[in-house]
Amino acid sequence: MKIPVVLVDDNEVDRYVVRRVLSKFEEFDELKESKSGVEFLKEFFNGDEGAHLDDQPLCILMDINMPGLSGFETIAQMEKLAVKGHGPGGIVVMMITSSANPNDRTQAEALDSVLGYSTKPLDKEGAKKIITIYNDFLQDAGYKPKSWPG
Amino acid sequence: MLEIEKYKFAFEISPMPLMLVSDGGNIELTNRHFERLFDYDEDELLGKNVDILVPDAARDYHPILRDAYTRVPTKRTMGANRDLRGVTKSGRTIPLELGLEPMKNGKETWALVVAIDLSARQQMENRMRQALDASASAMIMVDQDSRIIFINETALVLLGYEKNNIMGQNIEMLVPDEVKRAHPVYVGSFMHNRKTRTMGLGSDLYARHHDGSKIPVEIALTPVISGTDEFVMCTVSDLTERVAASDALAEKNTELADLNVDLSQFAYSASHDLKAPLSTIVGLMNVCIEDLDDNNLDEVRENFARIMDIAKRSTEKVESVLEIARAAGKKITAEPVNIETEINNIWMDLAGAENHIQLKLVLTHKDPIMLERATFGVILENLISNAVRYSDKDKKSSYIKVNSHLDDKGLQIVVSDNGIGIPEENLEHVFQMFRRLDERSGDGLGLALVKKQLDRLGGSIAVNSTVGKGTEFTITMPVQEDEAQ
Repeated sequence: MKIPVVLVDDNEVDRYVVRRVLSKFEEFDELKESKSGVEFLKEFFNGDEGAHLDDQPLCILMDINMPGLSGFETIAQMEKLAVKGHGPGGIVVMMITSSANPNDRTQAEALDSVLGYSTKPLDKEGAKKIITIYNDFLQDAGYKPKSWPG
Repeated sequence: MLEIEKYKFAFEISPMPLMLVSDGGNIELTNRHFERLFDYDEDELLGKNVDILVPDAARDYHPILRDAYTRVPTKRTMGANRDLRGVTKSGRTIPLELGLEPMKNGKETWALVVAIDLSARQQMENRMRQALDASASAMIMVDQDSRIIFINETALVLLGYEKNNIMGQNIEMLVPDEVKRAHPVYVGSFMHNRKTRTMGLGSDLYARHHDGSKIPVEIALTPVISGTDEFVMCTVSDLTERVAASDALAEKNTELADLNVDLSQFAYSASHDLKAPLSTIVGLMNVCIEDLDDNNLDEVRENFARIMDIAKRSTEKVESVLEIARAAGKKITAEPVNIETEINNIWMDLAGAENHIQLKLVLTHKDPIMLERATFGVILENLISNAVRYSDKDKKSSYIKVNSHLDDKGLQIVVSDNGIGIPEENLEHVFQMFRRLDERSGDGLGLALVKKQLDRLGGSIAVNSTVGKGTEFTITMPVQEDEAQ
């Protein structure tokens, strides 16, 4: 079973890089892409669109600095919608950012649904970490790493 | 009959001016000191009525007072604590204090009068008062009953009183209403433990002005003991300026603290925005290395083009940031600028591909204006390109309107459009550096630069917007005095 994965990032070239890196790993399903938080929420958390993914939790790679909704604002709205029963049954969120602000990391750690944080650019090592975190989550549904890799 | 001769010798050797008066007011005996004090020759006063020594103003009722004294004769002082004056032969008035000693002479009661010349003492007092009036500190002296017995000129000016409206009044009238209840308690405790000290003990202290306003003050209390009398000298320093200065300082501190927050936020935003393209380039390079290994040269070529494009845009961004930083200290010479030509040039550069948008110019003046041409260009280009970027594609027709108005306050330009508008919650952020509020946003530097330039020129910018209706930016900038040709 492959990992269903979606990338939320406004930067087209960054999306291309992630797409290329993940394509080298058989573990991942084909990368889905959202250009903004709004587009992402519309596509995955606007009803039962995610239902077909129920057999596998959705892996979400989230950029932080985006025009419109930031990564954090998108996650906050996503969590509200998830509580109401929208979206896929399970989610594994990882932040992928070039942010230099230490507050961003602290803020990400405080969020329950965020399980990882890596800095751009995503490379092979980063992709392997995503797979590890995702598999650990599968083994233990309440998985939350004490210290984050990367 | 009193034997006057008996007293003559005592009178002559007395160092004090002395006079003996019968109960009819007849001057029976004087000594040389007394005659000299009133400018009379030897024995010239003898046989005259004592009323000739009384100034005109008091002469009418003096016999009545004198009469009353002979009925209830007591040893007493005249003139202490009030303004008693005598008049000399030449008509000069002199301040006096008089001692009265009743003397029995048969059935009559005569009076032995001791005169003390207060001229010297009053001169001294005047000199003292002038010195205290000259003091920069306000000074108020009160007696045991908290009555004001002295107040200097500085205090009168500070508190807004006339001297005769405040002398003898209770000091409480200078105490703000909210402290009035407790004040007598403080006075009591000071009177019990008299030592020089500062009032208020570090708390905020106010004096009540005549008009009811409160003046921030510092008050030092000094006990003054004169014989059996105990006074308190209150030295009052006006802190209005000091308080204003410290308020201004506190305000500046807040501004600086805000500025520091701005600066650290700027550092994070700037480092992110300058770092992000580098991360992207590294990511692309990794991909390129893989593609080289796979001999996928077309993909490498494409990614090299991307890298160069990103590097080029980053360079431009760094230049924009530098331009904003330099804007603060820049000095550019003003030149005559025809703003209609200038705006039309900007429009031609911008609107090549946007010919569905109509530009409307409403200029209320035609003559060139003295402006920094480049700065004016940067400002208008940013405002107009934003209006183009945020035009509403769902509307039948889009327009951008530029109104300009020139008056003695300077040049005012309003750039309005019927674009998509800015949500209210974003309005306060539009001038922040690197702030991209929308997918259509550029690098988040344009309006920040416009604002910086206008700040430097001493101008201003304001924004008004309704989502769905459009946006309106209003800028003002001072125009140099020199009339353009």
